[in-house]
Amino acid sequence: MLARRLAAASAALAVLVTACGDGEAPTGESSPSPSATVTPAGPTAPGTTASPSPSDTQRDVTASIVVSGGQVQGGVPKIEVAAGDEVRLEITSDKADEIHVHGYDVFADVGAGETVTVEFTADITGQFEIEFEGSHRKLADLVVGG
Amino acid sequence: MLLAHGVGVRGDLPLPLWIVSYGAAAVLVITFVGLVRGWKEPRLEDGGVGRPLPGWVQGAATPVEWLLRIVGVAALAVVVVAGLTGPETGGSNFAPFMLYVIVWAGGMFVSGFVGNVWSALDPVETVRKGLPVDEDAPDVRARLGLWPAAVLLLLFTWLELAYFEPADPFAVTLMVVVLIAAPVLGGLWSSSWWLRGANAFGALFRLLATMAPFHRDDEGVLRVRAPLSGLPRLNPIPGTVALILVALGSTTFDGFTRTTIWESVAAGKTGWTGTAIATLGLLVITGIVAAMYLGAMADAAKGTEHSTGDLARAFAHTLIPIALGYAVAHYFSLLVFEGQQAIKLASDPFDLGWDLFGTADWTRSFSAVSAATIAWVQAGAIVLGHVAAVVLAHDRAIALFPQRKATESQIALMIVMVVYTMGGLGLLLGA
Repeated sequence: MLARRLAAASAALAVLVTACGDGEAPTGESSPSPSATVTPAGPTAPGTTASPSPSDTQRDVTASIVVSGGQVQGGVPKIEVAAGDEVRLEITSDKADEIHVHGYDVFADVGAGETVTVEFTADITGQFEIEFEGSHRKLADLVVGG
Repeated sequence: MLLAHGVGVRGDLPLPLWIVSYGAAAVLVITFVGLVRGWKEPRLEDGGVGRPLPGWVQGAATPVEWLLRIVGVAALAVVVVAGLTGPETGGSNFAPFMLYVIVWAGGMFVSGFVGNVWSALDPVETVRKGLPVDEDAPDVRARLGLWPAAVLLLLFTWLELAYFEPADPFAVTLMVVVLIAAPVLGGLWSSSWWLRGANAFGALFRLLATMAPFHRDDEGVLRVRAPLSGLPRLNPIPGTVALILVALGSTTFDGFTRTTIWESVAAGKTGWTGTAIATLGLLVITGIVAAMYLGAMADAAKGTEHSTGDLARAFAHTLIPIALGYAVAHYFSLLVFEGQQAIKLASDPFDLGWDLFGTADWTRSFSAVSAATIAWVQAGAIVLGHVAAVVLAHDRAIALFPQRKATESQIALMIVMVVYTMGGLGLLLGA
């Protein structure tokens, strides 16, 4: 039957396509993509360290971001946390600007050569930008998992 | 879907792999059942007429329509003034929210799921009402078709997805003026067909509304029909296929920009350099989506008296549910979250401290819909759009071809649709 052959052919194809798709699109959980690294190579940026708190469900996540010459040292990081995590951002800048965590609308001023710490609970899922309001410089992508 | 520094503060999370796997499995099972089980006679070709709505609805429709026309023209004036005089950051200006969230995303949803409400709100259609319509000038209609609309829609998607400041109020206002001026000037100087053929949103929403439950028949009677049942009645003209493929290609590109492949290409490219790369990406991805469809049609046309172009038009209606499915997958969360901001800004569109609708103090709730719900809506929209397309294509094929050729003709199209679906899901999976 032609219909049956057609069905078989498309099944084979679909499996093939699914397989390709899986290979090309890594999930956040199993294999982090190159751009998703939160641990930059530079000595000035210690990156994100997650230290498990007594409770298993809620963690404290600290990310350090250093901006100098208008550039985020080690590239713009992707900070991946789970919903409910306590996020602590340590941001150092060589120029004065205002930090804005989009979605959460957390704002903080940083002076030239200062380090500022911003803390909030990541209770809104989704992907958000953290940026300098004044210079529109993107500091990080915050990814809060469901 | 994230319009940098403006509309779209919250980006969606990648689809969890298991939802994608279930989605893909559903596609295969439903597709096989639909094809292999007995569906030997065309059943959908005569559908899509439906029942007339009660008399009082018909009577109320005309005043409501004129009310909507006034609202549409007034809203256009507010958008232009807000765009030119309001706050300069996109995130607090009414104009970009109106264009991207309410009209573009909202317009696609309402057109596909309710009916062509936009034709009453659309200022271009209102102008058309006031002009002598020269029977839509058959020669101009045949020559131009919907090609001007397809080109203008591509320009709009370029602003949305490639330009580096898509929510910039001035750029948005300029775009609105171009989208309105092109059909109106064409209509005034050339032929009234321009008011339809160069109306990018109007033409696309009209196409999407062919799958909607509510519609007006040729006599102007309001009717209700089964969702999707009106699609086989679509009568494509030159440019119809191009218009749908632009809509489909641009949402595909939107998904592609979320993948690691794209990130590695575009990383660190800002300003016009980034815009140039994104422009190329938009054109290439739209080209690939179009080439796949036309390739399948060329394959189906082999050994028949039909040309590739004939078949591309004969199967164009099957792409409409896919286009709407992609639109839902890409804009659902934008509509839910940024729609709140649009309602807030509507109370004070010129930033003068007004509170017209009592919503000026609203703050967006990003918890209104959970990430899991969004993921299911995204996967569901793509899968259902695909399934509807396969069923419609099967029905059209048995109406067009003899039995054996009908099945053969669908092999290439089936492959294309499965690739579209897997691609659509895969792009939403891409982290």
